[in-house]
Amino acid sequence: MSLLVVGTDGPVAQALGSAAPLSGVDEAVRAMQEQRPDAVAVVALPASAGPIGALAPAAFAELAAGTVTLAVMIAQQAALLAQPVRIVLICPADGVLPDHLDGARSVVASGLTMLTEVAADLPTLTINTIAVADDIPAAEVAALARHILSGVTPSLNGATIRLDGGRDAVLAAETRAEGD
Amino acid sequence: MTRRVLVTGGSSGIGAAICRRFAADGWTVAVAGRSPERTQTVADELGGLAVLGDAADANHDPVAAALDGLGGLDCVILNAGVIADADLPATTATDWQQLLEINVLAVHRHALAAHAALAATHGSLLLTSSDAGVWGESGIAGYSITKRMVLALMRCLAAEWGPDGIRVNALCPGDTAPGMVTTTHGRREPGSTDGWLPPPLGETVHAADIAGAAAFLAGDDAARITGVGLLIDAGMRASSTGWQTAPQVAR
Repeated sequence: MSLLVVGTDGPVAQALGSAAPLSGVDEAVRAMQEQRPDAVAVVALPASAGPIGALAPAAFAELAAGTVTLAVMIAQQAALLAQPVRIVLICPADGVLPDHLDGARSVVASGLTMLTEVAADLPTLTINTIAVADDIPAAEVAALARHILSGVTPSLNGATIRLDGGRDAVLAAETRAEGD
Repeated sequence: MTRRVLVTGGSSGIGAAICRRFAADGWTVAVAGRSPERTQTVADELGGLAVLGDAADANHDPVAAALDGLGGLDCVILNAGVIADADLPATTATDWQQLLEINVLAVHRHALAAHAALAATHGSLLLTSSDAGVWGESGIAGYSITKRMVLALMRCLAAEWGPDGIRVNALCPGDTAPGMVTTTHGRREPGSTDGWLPPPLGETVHAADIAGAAAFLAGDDAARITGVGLLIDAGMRASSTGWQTAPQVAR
């Protein structure tokens, strides 16, 4: 497997074997064209920027550029390589169930889940999102990413996998209990 | 007291239908659009305020202009948007930047600008998403991504601004005539619904249907509704194969 890791630096990228992943869109796209990897991990795990209603527009634009724009352009380039490419996007768990206290990341992560859905039917791509809670060990995230990228479970194509230890399931249960 | 609404993207399609519906319901309407001629025509027709500018321009502040002209706002409807008729491989960097800027970043910018005015009136914010934001369409990949982001933005703002008395909801139109699908250059012949998949209800969604949903969500009957993305799609997203059993589409 020829793996390219791009996006946010940190424990998850390091667990995937990249100490300093490419984070700029232009340089990451160039790396796609030059290296022609058959597996790509886009790590979109920035620090929380807090509620979206309190975030300056310029800061939101910067956050979007470093996460969803990077992922869209990488997936687009992967589709243009005309070879089989497996992609995994790694984003905050808030992309599945928004958390207004972490609203800025919730919004960009939601875009990644939709990117997975609309790219999944492209003939040369398989793509998944791992929506991960902040307290999940990086090694566990990397292990799941490597499993997906190994291609042994191709029917997972298009799925977003919540890796949160059941946190959101518990929240849903609490909501139901309180509603009753 | 007459209620006041700002509608961005109000000069054509769904936005114009919303302006007309709110005016008919007695609201004073600020019509925001980038085409001076179309925007002024709709505003003049409704006795409203024309707010000229392009949502892609970061210096354009339709909220401030509407507040200047109307003295306050009870509802803001951020409806301006663009589409790129392209699957992911055909989506250029320029396409994506325009989609992100107008469909998401401008919506965020204008929502923040409206916060104080809506808190003052315990008003309502409506964002136009899409059925494609609920259930993506690979043929309009970038558009689907941005409209999913609008839904997440809506939900976060609903929770965040609820304590300020502001309700935040989203409209999720299906293919609508007249609307983006029939008015975007190069996407269809103007006004044509040829090739549309028939929804389970058989009839194509009309812009007036979207306007009716907007009027409901902005009104007193929806006083306890916030954080909702309302599909208005004649059932198209109710089932992955619903269109196969639909009666002959009526146009």
